[in-house]
Amino acid sequence: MSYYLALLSRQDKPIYELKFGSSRQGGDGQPHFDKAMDDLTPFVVHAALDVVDDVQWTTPAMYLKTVDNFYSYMISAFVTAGNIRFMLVHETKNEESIRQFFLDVYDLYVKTLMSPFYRVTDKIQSPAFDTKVRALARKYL
Amino acid sequence: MDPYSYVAASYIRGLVLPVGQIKDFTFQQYLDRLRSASEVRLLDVSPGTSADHLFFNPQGYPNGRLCFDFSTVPIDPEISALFDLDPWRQQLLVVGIAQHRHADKEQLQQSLVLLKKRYPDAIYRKIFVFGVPDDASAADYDIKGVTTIASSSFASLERAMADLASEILYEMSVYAINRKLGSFKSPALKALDQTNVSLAAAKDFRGHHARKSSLGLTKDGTFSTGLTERLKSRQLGRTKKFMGSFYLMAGRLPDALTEFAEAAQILKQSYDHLWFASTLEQIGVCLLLQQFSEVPVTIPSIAKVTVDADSAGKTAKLAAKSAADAAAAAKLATSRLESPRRGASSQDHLDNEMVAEALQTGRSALATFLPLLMDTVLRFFNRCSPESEEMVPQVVYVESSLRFASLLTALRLGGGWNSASLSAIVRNTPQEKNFSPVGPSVMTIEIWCAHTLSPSLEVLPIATTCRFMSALAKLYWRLGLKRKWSFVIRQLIQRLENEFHENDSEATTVLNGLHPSFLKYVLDTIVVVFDWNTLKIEFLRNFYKLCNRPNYRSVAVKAAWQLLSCGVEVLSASEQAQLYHLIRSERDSAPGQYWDPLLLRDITIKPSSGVLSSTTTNGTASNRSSIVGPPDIIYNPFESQNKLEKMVTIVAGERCIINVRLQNPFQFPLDIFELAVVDEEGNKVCSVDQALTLSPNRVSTIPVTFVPREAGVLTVGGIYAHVGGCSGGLFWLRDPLATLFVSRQKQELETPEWPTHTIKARINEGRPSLVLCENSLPKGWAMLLEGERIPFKAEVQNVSTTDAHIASFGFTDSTVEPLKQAIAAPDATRADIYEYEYFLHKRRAVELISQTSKIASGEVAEFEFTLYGKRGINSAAVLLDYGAGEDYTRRLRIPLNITVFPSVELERVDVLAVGLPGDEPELTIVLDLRNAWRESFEVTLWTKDSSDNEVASVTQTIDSQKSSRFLLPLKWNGVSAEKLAQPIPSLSSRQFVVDSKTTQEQIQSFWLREELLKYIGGTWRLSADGELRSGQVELRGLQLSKKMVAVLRTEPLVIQMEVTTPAPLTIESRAVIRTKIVNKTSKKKYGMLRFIPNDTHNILWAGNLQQPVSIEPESEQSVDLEFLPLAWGSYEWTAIYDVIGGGQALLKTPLLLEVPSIK
Repeated sequence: MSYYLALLSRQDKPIYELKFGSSRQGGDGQPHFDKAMDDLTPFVVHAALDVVDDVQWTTPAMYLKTVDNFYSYMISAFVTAGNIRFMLVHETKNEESIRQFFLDVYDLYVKTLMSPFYRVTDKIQSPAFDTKVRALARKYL
Repeated sequence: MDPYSYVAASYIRGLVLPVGQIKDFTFQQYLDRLRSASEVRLLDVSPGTSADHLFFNPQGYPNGRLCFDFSTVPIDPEISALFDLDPWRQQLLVVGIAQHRHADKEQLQQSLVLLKKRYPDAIYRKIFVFGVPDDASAADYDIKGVTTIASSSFASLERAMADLASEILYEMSVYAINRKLGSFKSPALKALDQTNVSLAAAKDFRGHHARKSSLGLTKDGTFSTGLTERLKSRQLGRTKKFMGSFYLMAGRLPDALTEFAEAAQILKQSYDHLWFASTLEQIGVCLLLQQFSEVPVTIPSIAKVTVDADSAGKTAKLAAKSAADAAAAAKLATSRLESPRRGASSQDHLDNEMVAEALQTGRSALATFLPLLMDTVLRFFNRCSPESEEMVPQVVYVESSLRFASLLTALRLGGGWNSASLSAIVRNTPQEKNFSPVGPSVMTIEIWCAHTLSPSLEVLPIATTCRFMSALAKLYWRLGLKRKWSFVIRQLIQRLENEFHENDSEATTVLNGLHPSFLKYVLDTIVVVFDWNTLKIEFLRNFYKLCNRPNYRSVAVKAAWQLLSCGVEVLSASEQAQLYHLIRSERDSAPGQYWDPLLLRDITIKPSSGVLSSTTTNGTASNRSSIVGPPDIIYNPFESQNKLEKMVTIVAGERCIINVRLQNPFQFPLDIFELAVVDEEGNKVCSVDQALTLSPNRVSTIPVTFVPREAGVLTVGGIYAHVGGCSGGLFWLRDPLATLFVSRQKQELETPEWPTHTIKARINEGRPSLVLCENSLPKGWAMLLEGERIPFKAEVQNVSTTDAHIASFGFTDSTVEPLKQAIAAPDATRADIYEYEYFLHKRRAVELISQTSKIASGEVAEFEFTLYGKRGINSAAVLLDYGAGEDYTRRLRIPLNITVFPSVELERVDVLAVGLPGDEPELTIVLDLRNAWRESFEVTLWTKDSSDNEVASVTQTIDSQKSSRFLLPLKWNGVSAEKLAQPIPSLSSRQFVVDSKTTQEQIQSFWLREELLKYIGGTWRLSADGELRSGQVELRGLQLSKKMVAVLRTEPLVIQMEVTTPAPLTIESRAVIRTKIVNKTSKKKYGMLRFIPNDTHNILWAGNLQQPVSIEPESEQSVDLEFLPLAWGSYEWTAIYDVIGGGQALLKTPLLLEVPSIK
């Protein structure tokens, strides 16, 4: 199973993107999107932001669960207090794991945000962040 | 009329065509009038005979209404297979519109026949003649099927429409009777009867790949087995559904609902899922229309039961609610039927509140029920096997989803179920956004929209796909979901572009339906929505590919423009070049200014040539070779920054250069057709005459010539540039740091206030300007032999209108720098430094002979110089500083190219302490000279004495590359001890440093050499080609060896001692010691001569041991002393001459005397 994670700034610009595969059930951790979908995932995520904009006001929770569908893919969202949107494209419904995953990524994001060398809306280029996100992906998804 | 309105099934579709001569505009006008009256109340429709309206008698439900959907586009033959399932899709009516002015009876009759012939499937044809004057006689158009409509009266049109309704209802009855006799086939089966119909199955609508339907049916497959019971009941159910549809169109809602309910019952039992689901959907339409008509709504039990069973949990509430509703509805039922006019409940007998409450309950019930009903519909669609007769056509599936999404959209926009929303749904009235939490959420609507955007769309014909996607995009647009809208448009563009590879003609047809200006609008909107650069570039690439076709190039240019402005990092070199080529070739459709806001990097103004900032020298010529630097700035941190701003100086009326630095970050050469420098208000200051090309991927400097007209300040604010393919525009000077920031964060640029700045230059009034008119050297070149001197003249003209005052002359040559470096070298000795300085300051390549201090305007002045053949020189220059006043002098540089060849070289030198016999000077100097030139030299060397009188001279001819020895007497006077003790001097104003390294010997050697060089000299002569050349022999190559130093070093006072007595010394015999003091100096010496014997006890002497002695200059004085030894042994005598005022002469070797013992 393949996943696509994108952290989007308030201006809808990606500050972090990652495509990965499931490491469970014999998965190799590599994404296996088909060609058409591989190109489309950013578009799908971008389009789903419209739904996030609506849904985020209906719940006090940061985790908005699955907000949108495209073909057989689902898009889950998590909105931080600073309105940074975490979007995940996935194929199976797995709310609890995704919630845990988002929370831990949020933790990492907050740590990044506290760095005096990082400015909100900048791209996150820290290799440590990337490594940790990949580790979280292996752990939960 | 929105083709994807939820209530589309309730409309009677009509095709409207122009008949006879009618202008497009007029036709549109009449069509609009027709559309404005497209809704007819059944109350107004004349009943005619009851037999006429067998089924659809308007009096059966006077509360109802009949709606026409007039379209100018014939129905797509693709969907003709759906007519059995959805009879409302047919265009039952064909309406011709004629204009009274161009219509005649005969022609109209012919037109009617033609319409009948061309549209045989329509059940009724009618021609409306518009614009008939009120006084025209009706008899003119006394034809069946033709109705006149008076130009002034709306009533006339209303009446005509009522008549049309009456007529169509009759025809529908007839058609229904006929149709009931036949069978109703599912679309899949019907499609087999027809060619060119492709209906994709809607199975697996969320899968990745929808399969193209390949039905496992034969044309006569199902029916050939005979009509079983189930099939019979299916036919019955389908017939009832058909009748329900017709009742719905005829406006008789209760009858429609009854028919649909019965049909649903039968179809469900016979497992006819497709038809059953379709029936359920129509029930939903009926319910909604009833709700709209404010008629109590009773949900048919079959629908309720099915929905309940389908979603048991969800509808528990609904069941309870609907029970309560039913009671309220029953209460209202009787009374509401009495009020046929919609919305007019004037004759209410019932309590108004009660009505409102019941309506509200009905609405909320419907609000809950309809989504569940539609869910059920889709679920039943999904139950249909794609391989059988039951296959659900994709069109049906998608349209159902779209219709419901459209309903939800209207509800969201209207803020829930209210009369405004219902009106928007049914009548398509415009809506204002009135979001409220009561309305459906975006997520709910999105679920339905997602059904539409299924992968199986890809197998539908491109036109159909585009229609669906456009409808979806429209929904998103209405909801304000710009990102979703962009996504659909992106998919649409991609699909269309892909289609061009597969089916060019169809794709072209679709593309031709899009107006370029519309595409431009879409592009402009999407570019703003896609802030995500990756997405934007991907979209733009596709968009560009799609539009790069004839008629759409202007759109492609716009896309290319956008692409280049945001995707330079991603685009390959060839792609960039291709885009730019398109932009250039379509110059007429320039989308705007050049896309790179950072085109202008910097502007610098070069000061007018030769202008120095200021000078303090007066008008006398001085041999300076230093360049005047800028005035010192005293830094004050509290001073405003502007005061420190440097301003270059340019001169009015003279050409100056403004350097413009432009960047081209792209991989193609960029053409600039027009480039001008502008001031802070954008007015052109100066411009470049011809077109320019900026090299790829670099920053280029473009010099722009500018001639200021009058004194003042020049302010430069930016440039005006017209880049190839784009329209011209202004580019302001930006803060360089801000530029850096922007180029790094180009995408993040959010500050609209991007600071600009200006640069300024002071324009001075006219200054004198001198130019070199003539130089006596041929082409400025001179060939010299070392030591040779040649004169040359330079003519300088004042070309300005101002008098020029000569401030100073300066000279420089190519040896200046190397010598300066050598002087500055840390390991150079004092003597070396002096030698370098000597060559720097005393051996000048150019010397000024004559000059003038002022050159009046237009005058020519002549300057004479001498060139000297200095070794190692290859170029020299005369620097002439001049000005009008004290400030701002200018410098004229006269460059000279000089080649110096070696002439006579000093090979070896020696000084011998050998005087010529009988001659006073007792030294001889030996000089070996070598001819390094290719011709013979006549060399004369001479020696002088200290008074500069020639002592001797020798002339010899030295052949080319040969050496010759010169022997010359040297009348050497020596160097005084005082001079030898002086430190080595410096010729330049170097800082004094205590010299601890130079030894006494080095200092002495230095002074002796300097002195020796004054004694000797020489010249060479050469006559070649009748030209006599001469020069000095360079003897400064002379170096003193230790031996030579010893020879040259002479004592100024010398003491000699001797015994003058002829007999040998014996005890007690008298002896005379003569002491001779030689004064070699030019001064008379006074002093005390002291005799110092080693033993004063054993000798007797006559006179004093100390005697005052004065010696004339350059003479000698002898003093005699008698003494008598008293004992035998050795006696030593020495003498010291102490000079008054310093100085001493000492007998270095004492006089030794032996007195033998007496034996």
